[in-house]
Amino acid sequence: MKRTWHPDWVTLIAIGLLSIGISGVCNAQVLVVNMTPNSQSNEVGNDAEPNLAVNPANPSQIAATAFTPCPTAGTNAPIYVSVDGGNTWNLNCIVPGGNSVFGTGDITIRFPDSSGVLYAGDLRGDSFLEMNILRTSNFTSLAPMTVLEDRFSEDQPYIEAALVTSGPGAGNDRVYVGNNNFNTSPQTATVDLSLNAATPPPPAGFGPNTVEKRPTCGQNGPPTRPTVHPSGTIYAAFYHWTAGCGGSITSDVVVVRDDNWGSGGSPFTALLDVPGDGLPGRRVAIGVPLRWAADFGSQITLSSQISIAVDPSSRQTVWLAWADGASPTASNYTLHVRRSTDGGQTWTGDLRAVVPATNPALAINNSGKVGFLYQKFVNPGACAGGGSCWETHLETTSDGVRGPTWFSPTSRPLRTLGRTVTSATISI
Amino acid sequence: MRPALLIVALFALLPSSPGVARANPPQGMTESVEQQIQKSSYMFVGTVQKTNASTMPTVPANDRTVVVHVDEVLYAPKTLADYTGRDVTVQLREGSNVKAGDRLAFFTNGGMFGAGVALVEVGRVEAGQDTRDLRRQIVQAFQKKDDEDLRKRIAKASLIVAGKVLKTGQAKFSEHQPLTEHDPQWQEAEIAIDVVQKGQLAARTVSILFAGSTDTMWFRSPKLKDGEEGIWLLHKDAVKWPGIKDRYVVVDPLDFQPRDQLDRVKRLLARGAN
Repeated sequence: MKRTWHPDWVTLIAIGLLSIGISGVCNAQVLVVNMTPNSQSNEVGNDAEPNLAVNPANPSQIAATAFTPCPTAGTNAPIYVSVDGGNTWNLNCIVPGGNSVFGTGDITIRFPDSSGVLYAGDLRGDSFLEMNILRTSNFTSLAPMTVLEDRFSEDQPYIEAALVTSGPGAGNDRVYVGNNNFNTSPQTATVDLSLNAATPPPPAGFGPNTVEKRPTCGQNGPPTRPTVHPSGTIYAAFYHWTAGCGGSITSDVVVVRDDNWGSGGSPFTALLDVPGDGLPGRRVAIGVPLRWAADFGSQITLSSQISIAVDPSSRQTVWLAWADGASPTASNYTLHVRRSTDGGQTWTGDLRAVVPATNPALAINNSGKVGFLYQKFVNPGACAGGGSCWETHLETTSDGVRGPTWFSPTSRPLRTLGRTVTSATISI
Repeated sequence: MRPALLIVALFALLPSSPGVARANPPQGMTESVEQQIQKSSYMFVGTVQKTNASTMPTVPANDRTVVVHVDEVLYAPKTLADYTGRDVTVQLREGSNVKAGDRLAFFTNGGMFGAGVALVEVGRVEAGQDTRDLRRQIVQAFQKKDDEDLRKRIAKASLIVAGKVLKTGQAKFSEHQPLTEHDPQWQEAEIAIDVVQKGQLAARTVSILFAGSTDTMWFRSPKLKDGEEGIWLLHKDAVKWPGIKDRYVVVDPLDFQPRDQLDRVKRLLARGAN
């Protein structure tokens, strides 16, 4: 990845989006809060690849992460902490294995409903491709997070979590960490899961499940993204690379599903590719072209752009967004948004397509309102001198069943940026 | 050398002033002062203002939190704001206590940083007005830690050589190389060897891999350059990655040492693995 050094506006975006809220209305005000604490206002760190988690039980509690080091440059990296709905922020250095420049590598965080436990999946900042799964029962505590799982040869841990509200296991936190596990090459798309993560000692039941069931050209694409419905239906989306693992890649876009929290003997095999090859994992798109590391504005394409979200009010309704395109200049790098209303068996065509753009992120609230966050490359743009720019957009729709009609809560892009970041995500 | 050590290095040259800092940690603390210093990233002399108190709403006051006025910073990263003259919250180690008015040297780590600052205590000693001995202790403790870190790395190395980089270029592999944004972008360097300090090698040159990437994962790894001279600690098991199992790699910042560190490397090598 090209590293773009810039001040702290990366994290500003996240809270700006949060402030709009998926339930935003036409004239919603965009509140932009500088998440960098006043005491660190001179920091010029990278702060890239932000991730955001809101405590469903107490929405005024928000945690965030980025490539940010602890101000004392100690051995723990920080998370961003707000307990007043995002108006003010603190850095809390509780993530083990930080370094003094970036903090950690890839890191994502989630609160399940009501337990208040915060979980994280990260690549340690003091090691090489070493994944940790972590938890803290109090994200404002100064005590370091507990390491629940520790594994090398890993990439892009991406975490989701939910609370079992009734039936067997009621009260348990269930946690799912999509990752690219090179220990299982050439089938690397993996979901680590725990059916009771909140209190047992490490590893708290965590263990890997390879969700790729087809041969690949050497590996899966980096992202494996899970989404959890409170009924116990779990989806995961990933790129099935079929050819060209050296750079000019041909890929399928695959969704897998489990209907019982991933608890059976063959998890994530409930959704078969029918009609198709009959194997577990529905191929939503077949043979799409990708180019590894094509120049794209101030960053590069990494074939890492995929997002999936299940509707909390219907376990059968699931939305998927991904990026593809093989132009060396990324001029045709296209975001696709599609929907299934039958548990991933059949899918619409593109409900939304944006080109050239990257970093898609989907979220759905309890009212079925869908949020779609992305960053679009514009050239010429609105930057000084008319140069190229990145625009960050958040669009929503409430009539997905009929249309949908996409609506931007703002009359203009949230922010026009000279540079951009990867892996932007939204959470509700 | 740690950048922030420069702050205290000059003070280490000053004459000793005995008796200003207690050599032993307070009762209940089993670690030596040296160990406490080595585990700390922010150290200061402060006066306890209030017990069972906090300067931050996100850090509720309890019997382990105290408000301390920062009188003098002994060690701090360059990136950290100067808190001299300000009140900070310190979360004491479990089972320890202090009282208002105590003037102490606190060894701490972050901590929470917001409108205020909360630090986590590693240890403390009593402090007088003259802190020169304390500063000297800090310098010495970090020098020992730096030596110990290097000794451990030396112990893990398969081969240690001194020499000169003849050429560098992109490494080639027959195995599938994982595609990840954290690709180390392996480069290969051929080194003409002057001295083999550890291990056996008959040849006069050795080929080693290093990470050319400046990604978050690899930015600290040594980047070898044509014509560069130095000492390299070569490893065969430092990173799990296809195709490199039987090849020498340098990935840790300590894996490169300037040539003038040869005597130090020899000395630490002689200490052995334990």
